Amino acid sequence: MTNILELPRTPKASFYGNQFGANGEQTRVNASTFQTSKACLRKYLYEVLLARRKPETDPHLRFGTLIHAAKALFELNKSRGASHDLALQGAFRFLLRETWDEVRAKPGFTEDPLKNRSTLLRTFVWYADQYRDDTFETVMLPSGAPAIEAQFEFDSGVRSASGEPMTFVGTIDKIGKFNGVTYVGETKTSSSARFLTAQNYTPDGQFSLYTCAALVCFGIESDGVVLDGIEIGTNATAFRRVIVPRPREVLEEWLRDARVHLRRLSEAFGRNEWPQNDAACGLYGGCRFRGVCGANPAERAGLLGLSDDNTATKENQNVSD
Amino acid sequence: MANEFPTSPEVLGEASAFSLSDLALMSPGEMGPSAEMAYINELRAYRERYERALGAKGVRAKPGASTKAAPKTSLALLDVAFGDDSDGGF
Repeated sequence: MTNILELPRTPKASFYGNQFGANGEQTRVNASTFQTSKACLRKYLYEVLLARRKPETDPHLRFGTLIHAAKALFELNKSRGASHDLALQGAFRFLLRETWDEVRAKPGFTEDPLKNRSTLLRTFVWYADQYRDDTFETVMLPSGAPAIEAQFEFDSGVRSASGEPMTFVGTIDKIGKFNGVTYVGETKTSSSARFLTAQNYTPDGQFSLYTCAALVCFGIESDGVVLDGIEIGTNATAFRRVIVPRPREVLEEWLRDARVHLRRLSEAFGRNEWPQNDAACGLYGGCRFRGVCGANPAERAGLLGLSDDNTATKENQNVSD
Repeated sequence: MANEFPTSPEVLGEASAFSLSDLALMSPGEMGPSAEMAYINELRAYRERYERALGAKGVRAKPGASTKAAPKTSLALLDVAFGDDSDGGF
């Protein structure tokens, strides 16, 4: 019988960057995988260590990725002195190419009713125009570079099971001043405005981490996050900008708690113990691994697309959606 | 789906030399800078028509205004849940 807990845990480097040590332990932790580990260690094992993430072709993932990438290109070119329309055209061209299937000579993006090529292009043009005269002005990093797509890494103060420092890593969309106050900027897309509120991100691990990182890594103290919410509809896109505060005391508490969670993660790896958190199975529309966790343990490797002969690196199989 | 944006023909109508549907099927290679800008401008014109139609219907054209609450679909939830996967680089 295959014991999932004994299978090799070697996610492809290209998927997560070099966040993993030689023993397969994650020592550089990003917001997304950290959230997963907090929600359920078993889910973390499946999704992160066994690399059973949602496929990169997932329309929601792909849509968000492309919006972020186009926005970064747009902002970068504007910061270099390009006019609004020129910067927009450059980012638009990027999106056109990214969503075109050269081999089949036709649009190559998803056919999802909300997240498709047409809604992507429309959303980006409307987004750029919506904030054409934006008063959320990018600040400069200590290096002199504009604070756009700013990658960070800082020591959490926690050691991994193998004794390595565990660090937090990520990429901040933007740091800027809005009405004279400094904030981290973050863009989120959703099919419903009710998920694009300050309340929905209070508390929220990613927002707290990024606000911490702005201070720790760049020496920029910010009051929280400017959330640019993008609500995608089939025929239109709407925008809402909200401030999501993060007082210093809240951040300090978050960091203390985060260290506790990291220690638990390190301990789980050291002991190879990945308990299911069955209180979380029904959250967020239901965990996609529910079918796996509910199955007989002997069947789980098959359901995950794993086998005894070290196929754990075979990535991107959709398990139970 | 989740949003209740107007879908009436007058909103979706197109009235210029370049149609959005034609532009959407043009390959990036054959498009060229002028068609790119035409595409961008068509999307802007579409937005104007959309917002005019909202006004005519007496619906507030305030960004983010949604006339109905979205259903509790996993699609909507997944949107946000995986939004930060695009943080790039890691």
